[in-house]
Amino acid sequence: MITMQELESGKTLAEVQGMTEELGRTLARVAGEELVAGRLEAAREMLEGLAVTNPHDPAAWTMLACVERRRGKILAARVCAETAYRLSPDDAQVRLVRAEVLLCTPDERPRAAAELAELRSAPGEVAARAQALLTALGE
Amino acid sequence: MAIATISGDTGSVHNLLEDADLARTGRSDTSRTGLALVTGKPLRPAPQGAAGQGDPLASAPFYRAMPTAIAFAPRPEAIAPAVRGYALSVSARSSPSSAAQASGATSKTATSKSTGKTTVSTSSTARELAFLDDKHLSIEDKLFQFMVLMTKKNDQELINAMKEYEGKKTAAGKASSGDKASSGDKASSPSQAKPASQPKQESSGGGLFGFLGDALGGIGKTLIGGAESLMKDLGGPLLAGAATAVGLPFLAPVALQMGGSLGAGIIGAVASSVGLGQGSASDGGSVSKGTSSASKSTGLASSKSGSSAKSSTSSAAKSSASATDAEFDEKLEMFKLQRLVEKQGAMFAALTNAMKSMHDTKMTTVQNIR
Repeated sequence: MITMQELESGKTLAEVQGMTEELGRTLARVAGEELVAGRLEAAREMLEGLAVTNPHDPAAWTMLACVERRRGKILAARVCAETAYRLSPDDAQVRLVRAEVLLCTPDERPRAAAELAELRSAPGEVAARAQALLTALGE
Repeated sequence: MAIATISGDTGSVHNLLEDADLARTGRSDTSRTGLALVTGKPLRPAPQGAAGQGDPLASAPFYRAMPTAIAFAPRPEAIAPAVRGYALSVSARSSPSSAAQASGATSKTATSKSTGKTTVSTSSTARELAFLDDKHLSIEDKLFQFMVLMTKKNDQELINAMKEYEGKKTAAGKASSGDKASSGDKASSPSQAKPASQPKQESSGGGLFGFLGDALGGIGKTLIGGAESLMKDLGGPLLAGAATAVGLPFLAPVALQMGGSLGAGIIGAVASSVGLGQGSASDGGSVSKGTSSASKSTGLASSKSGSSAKSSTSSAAKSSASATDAEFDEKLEMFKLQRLVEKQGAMFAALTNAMKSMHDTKMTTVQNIR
């Protein structure tokens, strides 16, 4: 049973329920598969549950931002992306997803372009994706 | 440039992003139509002429089709792990606890050398109530576990008290039987000496003559017993009548009072002298006291006559005192058991009352919210 005292003390549901990080990552991976398959509602439910269970996990917020952007909920996607960025500001994937979300807002496109320019030096497919986006932006 | 197609709409952005991904990978889908993105080239309108009329561009579409599947999705395993918020895994959980256990063991060993039993009891108590520091448990759970623990301890205490009571009772029974046996062996009083000597008489005979002797002895004892009781009943009036007949009527009341016991004593003395002495329990201490002079004269118990009478009274007093002590101990143990049961009931009532009050408080809160 979860008490208010535990929540006040800063304990997450994952800690109270004994949910390990491996389990959380597995859930996020399954949600990612749902996202790739286009089942956005299923992915959203799983990722929202994961984000509530452990609000300190940037992966849940990042993927939730992707899902919300795909669903057309730009504000929700922005909130999720900013939360993930606050939790893990140095992670390349988090920055890439945040930049993609920023691209959805016309006023934020310069910031998104700057972020993508920085991500060109990132390793792996993040850099390729950033480069592709910058190319699409004409930069 | 395709950026011109972005108008703030999410779908357009999505299309842009997917097309950018396709441009990165160099893939194209010529079977699809739609808004095109050609990287590095300006967007141009579709050819007006029909395809296949000599225009080399007409054979192949100049745009790339809009993809239908997402080309990029974040991989959670590549994202930085959460700084905190997840429960520790079993392996991570076991190592600190084992280290803590090891340190606790060392500290326990170190302290046990210095303080001994006190340390052990303190650590066990702390281990019993360790759940009070558990942050996973609510106050109700802690209260319930505390109640369970206290109930267990009280039950064990009650069982120990009952075992102690049983042990004391057994020891008291053995002690009282030992006192009786020792008093019987010592033959401290004439009345008890006679029964103690009876088995010797009974077992002395063997064979036909022994059986006849036993039978005759039994008959004699019966006769002596009857004579004693008869003399006890009729001795007083007979002696009073004799005193009146002799011409001493003022001695009649004294004779009436003393005649019974005196006659029984005479009969007993005669029987003892003959060898058929019978100590009846009904004679009591008064008879033995009354016949002490006769015992002296017969010489049966002459060696211990005076002193044995005193010792008999003292041993009797002791046995009665020990019996009283045993009875008192029994009552005390019963009181102890009763107190333990009452203590358990009081503890149980207090904790359940506390839990009920907490529950009522919460229910009141819920009803107020409604």
